[in-house]
Amino acid sequence: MKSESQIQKLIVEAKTGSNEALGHIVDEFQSSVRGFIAMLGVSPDMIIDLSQETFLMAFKSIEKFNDENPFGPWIRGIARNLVYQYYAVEKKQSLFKRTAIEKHLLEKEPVEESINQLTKFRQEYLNTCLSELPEKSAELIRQKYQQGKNSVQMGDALKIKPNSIRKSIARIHQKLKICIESKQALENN
Amino acid sequence: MKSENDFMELCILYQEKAMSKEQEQDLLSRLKNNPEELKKFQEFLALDEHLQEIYHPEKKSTLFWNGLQERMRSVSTDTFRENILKINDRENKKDSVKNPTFIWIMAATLFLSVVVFMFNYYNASQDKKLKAFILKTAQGAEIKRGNKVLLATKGMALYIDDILTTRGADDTTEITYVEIGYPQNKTFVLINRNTEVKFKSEDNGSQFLLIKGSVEATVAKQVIGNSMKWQTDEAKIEILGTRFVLSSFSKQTKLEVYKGKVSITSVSDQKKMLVEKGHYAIATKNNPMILKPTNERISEGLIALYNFEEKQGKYIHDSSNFGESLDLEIQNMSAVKWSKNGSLNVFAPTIITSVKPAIKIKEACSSNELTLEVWIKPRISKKRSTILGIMGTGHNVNFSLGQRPDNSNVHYGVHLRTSQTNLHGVPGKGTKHSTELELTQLVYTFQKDKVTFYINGVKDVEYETGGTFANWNDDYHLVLANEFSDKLIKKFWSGEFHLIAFYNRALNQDEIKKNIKAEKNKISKK
Repeated sequence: MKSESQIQKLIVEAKTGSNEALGHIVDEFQSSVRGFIAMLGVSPDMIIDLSQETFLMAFKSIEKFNDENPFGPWIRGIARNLVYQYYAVEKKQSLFKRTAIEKHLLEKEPVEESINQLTKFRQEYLNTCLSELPEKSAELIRQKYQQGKNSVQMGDALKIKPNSIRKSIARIHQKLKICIESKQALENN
Repeated sequence: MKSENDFMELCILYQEKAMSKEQEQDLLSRLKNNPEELKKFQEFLALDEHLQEIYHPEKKSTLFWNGLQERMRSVSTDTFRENILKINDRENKKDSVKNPTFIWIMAATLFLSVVVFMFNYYNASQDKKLKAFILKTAQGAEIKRGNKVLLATKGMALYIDDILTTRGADDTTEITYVEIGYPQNKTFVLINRNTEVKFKSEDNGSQFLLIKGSVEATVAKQVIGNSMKWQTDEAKIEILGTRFVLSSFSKQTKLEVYKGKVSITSVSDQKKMLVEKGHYAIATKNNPMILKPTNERISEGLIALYNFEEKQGKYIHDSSNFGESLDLEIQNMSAVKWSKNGSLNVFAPTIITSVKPAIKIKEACSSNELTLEVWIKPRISKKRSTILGIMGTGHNVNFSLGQRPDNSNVHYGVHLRTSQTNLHGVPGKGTKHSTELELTQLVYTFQKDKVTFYINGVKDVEYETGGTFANWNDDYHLVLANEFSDKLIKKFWSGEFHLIAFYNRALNQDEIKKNIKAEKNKISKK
């Protein structure tokens, strides 16, 4: 993960029009922007689009960014404003009704501790933690995320009640979270 | 439900969009009153997103960055055009034109801008040479790669010489299909059941060999000399940007074009033809290639189609050629009569059901859009009756279309199960206007958060609604003219069926009118 001074240097280069510097910035912050937008309750099928728009907006106005300030909060601010705009447009077109939960998530800023977990290496840790899961747990996660099955479908296939499937997936999520955090803690130490 | 495990289960239910209203209230209350649980929920959402990325490689960094670069290029191209206009404006001013130094500076700027534009255009076309990915697949699809046989899964990249195989109805009861594509290029190829396709090359455009079966493709505008190419035993096809279906069965190749133009060359005599929208060509080894116009009916997104042209027998066949055929069986033949020109008259209580569950309709509607088109001639009834539905017992439905009496006319109503209704699809939605007792085209579309009814191609009413089909039951059958009940007389529908079509997307009004144009003359002759 790059230090603040390395990121400042990238931003200075990006301001001169360096495509390579922009690529490094995307590489550094992509995971955190997408995770942050997910935390605001945006539908999964809109996260990539809104993330790309966030970087596009950031690069358009990078001249105005004071490179003495940290870049992360700035780009996350852009992301949040874009999400607000997206909901405002959808509401105007009467195409989208936000649920109360989605409204609540947008109003509540994720805490710094949660945001700090969204580092560039998170995917690497997640891959490692997935490989350390027992085969049955790994298979459940594969069916859910790779094949897009829900608990009812998995339950039908495995002849297990959907509630039991959900309990299992909830436990696996917890395990993965603890595993990632421990690897991040080791890295930081 | 107050323990931590219960909370995580609520998170999973939320992610699957399978919450009841009570569970939603419970989760909201916990998020509002417990900051620790709010934090856990936010972290759950982020972890969910990152898990999606792991299992969907098309979202990986390089593709994210490439997609972003494309968007950035479209911005810089606009800026280029603005600069050109500004340069043109300045050149029109007399004092600027008279200054030779200024002219040289402008010419140099123009030249450099052209170089930058061409460089970016070249990069864009290079980027479009990305390998194809598997975007969707049903179980049973395989890739033969060298000596290995791999299960085709979503997100896999295709390599040169890969052979994609889908199985058909003969050796499996499952629907098998694969959709491959170049997501950035907006080019998608659906490989239907019982089909074998070899990925041959990426040089000078993507090249495929259709060994057997059929594919349906939507191809973005291609660069000349770098376009997509398909080959069969009988023909070579070059695509420049179009939508087509290519089939290779029983030693013949059929190419049907729905949009754009496709060039086809017969392998036997090297004769070349240009097949335009609304036409098809058939190439064989021993006969000259033929070119004919096709039916104008909309076929994009068609997942089930019943023309009622059987004229006899207890089965009604699904002629959509999508996935596995969902044929229907008439329970009581003495309650129906086939017409000579192809329609089915139901005049006494019976029930017509699909021979297997209608799971292909649910699976095809994974984007949570649906169109039902029916051509019927109803009879007056004093009670509510069920025209058709995808249903189980006890009035539990994924979907149902019913008829309600209105003096001498009829109204129609739909119950659609979504994550925001109950198991009976309540609250339902109905037509605003009634129709007379004559042949009627009724179309119902569900898209994002709105429902629209069309009667004979005219928009009747639109409603705001919401939800997804995630809670549809896989075991429900397609049922016509009744509901599952201990008494067939309760909800039986009396009238004529002329056509039923399901689409996995919401048709627009133009498309609905095209279907009327295609069908009206044909049906009125029945």
